[in-house]
This record gives sequence, structure tokens and C-alpha cells, in this order.
Amino acid sequence: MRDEYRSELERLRWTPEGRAALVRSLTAGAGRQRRARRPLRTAALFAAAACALTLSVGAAVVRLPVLEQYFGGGAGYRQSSALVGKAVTANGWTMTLTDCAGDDRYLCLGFELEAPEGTVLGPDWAAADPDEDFDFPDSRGGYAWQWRCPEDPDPTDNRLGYVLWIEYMPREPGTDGLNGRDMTLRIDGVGYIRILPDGTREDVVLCGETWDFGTLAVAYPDRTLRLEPRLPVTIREVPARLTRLEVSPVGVNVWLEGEALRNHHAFWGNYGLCIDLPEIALYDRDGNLLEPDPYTPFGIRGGSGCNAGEDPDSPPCIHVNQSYGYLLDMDSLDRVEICGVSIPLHGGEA
Amino acid sequence: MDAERAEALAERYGDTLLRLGYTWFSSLADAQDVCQTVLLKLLESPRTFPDRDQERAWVLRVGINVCKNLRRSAWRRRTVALDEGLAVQAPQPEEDGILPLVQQLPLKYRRVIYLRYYEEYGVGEIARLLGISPALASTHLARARARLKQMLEGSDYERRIPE
Repeated sequence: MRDEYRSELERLRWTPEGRAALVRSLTAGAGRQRRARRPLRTAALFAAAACALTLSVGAAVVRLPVLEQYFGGGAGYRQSSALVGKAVTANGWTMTLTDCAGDDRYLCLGFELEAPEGTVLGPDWAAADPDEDFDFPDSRGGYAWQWRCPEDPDPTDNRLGYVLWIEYMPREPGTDGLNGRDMTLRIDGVGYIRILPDGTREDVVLCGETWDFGTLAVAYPDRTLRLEPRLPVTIREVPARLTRLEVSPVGVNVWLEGEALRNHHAFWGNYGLCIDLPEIALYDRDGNLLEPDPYTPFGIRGGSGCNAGEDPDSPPCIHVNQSYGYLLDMDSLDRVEICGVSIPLHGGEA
Repeated sequence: MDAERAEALAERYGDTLLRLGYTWFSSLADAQDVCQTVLLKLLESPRTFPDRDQERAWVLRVGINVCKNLRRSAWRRRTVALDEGLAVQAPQPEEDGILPLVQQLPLKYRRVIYLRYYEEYGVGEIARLLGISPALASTHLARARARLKQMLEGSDYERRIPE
């Protein structure tokens, strides 16, 4: 038995392509590691900041809002974003929260950093992350977050945009969202961690200022379609029920339930990629199939999950989130097909 | 250098962590998450060890802790953007295979089976890795073997379950 078990288990391995993708992912992750959620400053920067700290909070004049740069200023952005325009200045460095957009579980915040005149925010800055410290005091869930840097329209000037993607994980899936909640937000500098050839880590602090936004009311237009189709579907010959469907500017969320899904990791066995199985096809009114974007923060169908039905007290459920890399024009959507079942998004019956 | 270290770690421990994660979750997606999470931790916190055995034990310990943390939430999450279709070479399900049967055991049993029969650790080492008493590790191992015998009743494997 020992040899058979070992032999069968050893057939589970990374393919060369998979290993290469893993290495790329690790390298990208290590090069842009999250810094600790505390101010990371060099002693010199700290001393300079301590003797000359001046803070001011006020409205700022900004160029194009950062999310408009990041997503493009199409109909989806116009329908579902909100301008914020709150700026905090510290020692001549201004961080402005320009705009926000989202749905029940994802929130995107656009920031513009403006350095003192004469400072160039070049490629190093685009590879760095602001060091965020945020909370939603009234919420009862957890968060994941990632920073992105939209393409810099002028790498020789003193301005640069950053986008903070926040994924909200409510304690009870589907029970509440982020829209309209108070958020506390502080940003402690901008930088990255470099791993040196000898393996030691070096904090590279590009800017050690602190921008304290205090408490913000985060609100944006709610364009989410929330449906409860309760339709039968079949996933790889297994019957299930499409219990909930949400289509928002950020993407499509699908919940599939059914007793036949209990312990599905066991019977789909080595193909336990259950959240990859449901086919989700979104069409616009012109009949175009909208392509999901695998590079959206949180990855291919990132934010998806399942409970596998291993807990006898919980109904088995698969939740799939599919994102598109831009804010969807909700008025242009026609239907979504889930496991071959077509669901109109603007009236009509499936 | 990051890429070289990442490549070396992925080469040395990628498959091991994939198998450890699979033992825990019976899911390739979760196994990949475990693998990536652990390797990223190793990249973030480089350590040196007197020998490869101690390094491997530490990697397994980190991997087990990652599995425990992931399992705390019934809703496990995906954070990896890998091309799943290309990522992993998986064994085909075999009707008479032993692996599907082991994977049907409760986690407490399949994790000791993995550490005993794949990693070839003794009861004391298994206990240390899992953070349980040696007596409990021994009990789980005995019960796991008994369950497997029951499941394999009548098959060729029945006679070959080692003590």
C-alpha cells in the first residue's frame, strides 16, 4: 500500500508550464510584497518628518480622476463611479482620493500622488505601493486588497495614480456590502521591499509621509442587478440550482447550491477546480460575448469560493465571481448564460 | 535573483507542497494556493538550515500551518492568477487506486497517512509537525489503517497495509 500510495501521489505534480507560471507569480509577488501595516520609514526620513511635519486637509484640483484613467471613461465608469476629491498634504506631498466605484463586495479607490514641484515620479514609483491602513468599523467581515498603478500618462512629471482594490468578505456570504459605509483610511508612505542577492530584505521607502484621511463616507451608484433565479442547471453532469445571481459593473457573481454538490471535491476528485467548472457567458445587446479578464485583481475567478458541502449542517454551495477588467456598461447588457441556461438581464423569463 | 530563488524553491518544494495541499483539501485549486502561499513566505523570510532534512521539515510545518489557516474558513478563497489548465499534472482517477480511498478518509487520518507513508516520518515527528501528542498521532494512524483495511476489504491492498 505504501508504494502504491506514494506512486499515485507522485503523479500529482506541476507541469513545466505551471511551474513557470508559479515562478513568475512568486517573483512578482516577492518584488511587490505588502509591507507591514505600520509606517516604515528610514531613520533619516523619520527625523526629517518629525521636525517639519505639516498637514493640511482640503479640496484639491486634480487632472483626470484616477479610476477614469484606469478603467477608461466609458459608459460603465460614468454610470457607476463617484467623484471624491479629498486631498491630504504632508510636507508638500499631496495624496488625493479622486474617485471610487464598486459593488457589494468589491471597492475600487483611485488615488493621485502629487510630489513637490521638480520631483519626477518615474518607473520606480509605478512599481511601488502605498502603505495603506484602512478599516470599515461597522462591517463584520474580512478584506483582501491589492494595489494597481494605471498607465502613467507622463512619467516625467510629479504626478502618479494608484488604484486600491478592496475585496470584502462578509461573514455570511451575501449579507451586506461596502457601499455607504464609513471607512477609516491612512496611508503611511510609498515604497517597496527589495530582496538583496544575499537574501536579506531592504525596505525601500520612496516617500515617508503620512496621509491621514480620517473617516470617509464611501458611497457610489448602486447599479447591481440582484436576482434569485432558482433555476436548475447542470455542472459536469451534476444537477444544481442557481440560487442567486448578481451582475454589477465590476462583474458577475453566481451562487450554485444543491445536495448533489455535497462533497463535490471528492467526486470531481482530482478535477476539484469546482469554481472553474460553471460556464458563465455575458452578452451585450449587440450579441457580443464579453471576455472576462484573468488579470483583474484577485486572479482568474478570484474571490470565488465554495464550502464543498463537507459540513453536514451547511448546504453545499459554489460561489463564482467573474470579472471583466473594466466597469461594465450596465445599460448595454442583454443576458447571461450560466451552464447553458440563459437569463435575461432586463426583464423577460429564462 | 528573486526569480532564481523562486525557481529553486519551486523546483525543490513545489510538488511536495502541492501534494500536501491536495491531501488537506482534495482540491487542486486549493493545493496550488497552499503551494504558492508557502513558497511566497519562504521568499519573504529566507532562513538557513544545517541540512536539507531540517529545511524540509520546516517547509512542511509552514505548509501545515497554512493549511490549518485556510481550513479555518469554510469558504476557502482563491488568490492565485495561474493558468489552471496548464498548471498541474494530475493523476487520473482509478477505480482501484489507493489515493482516492485515502482522500475519502477524514482529514485527521489522511494527514497522518501522508506524513507517515509519503514523507516517512515517525510518530514523534508527525506529532511535532501537527502539534498533537504522539499518543494521538499514533491513535490516528492506527485508526486510519483500520479504516483503509475496511474500505479495501477483499482487494489486493488489504493484505499490504503496513503496520
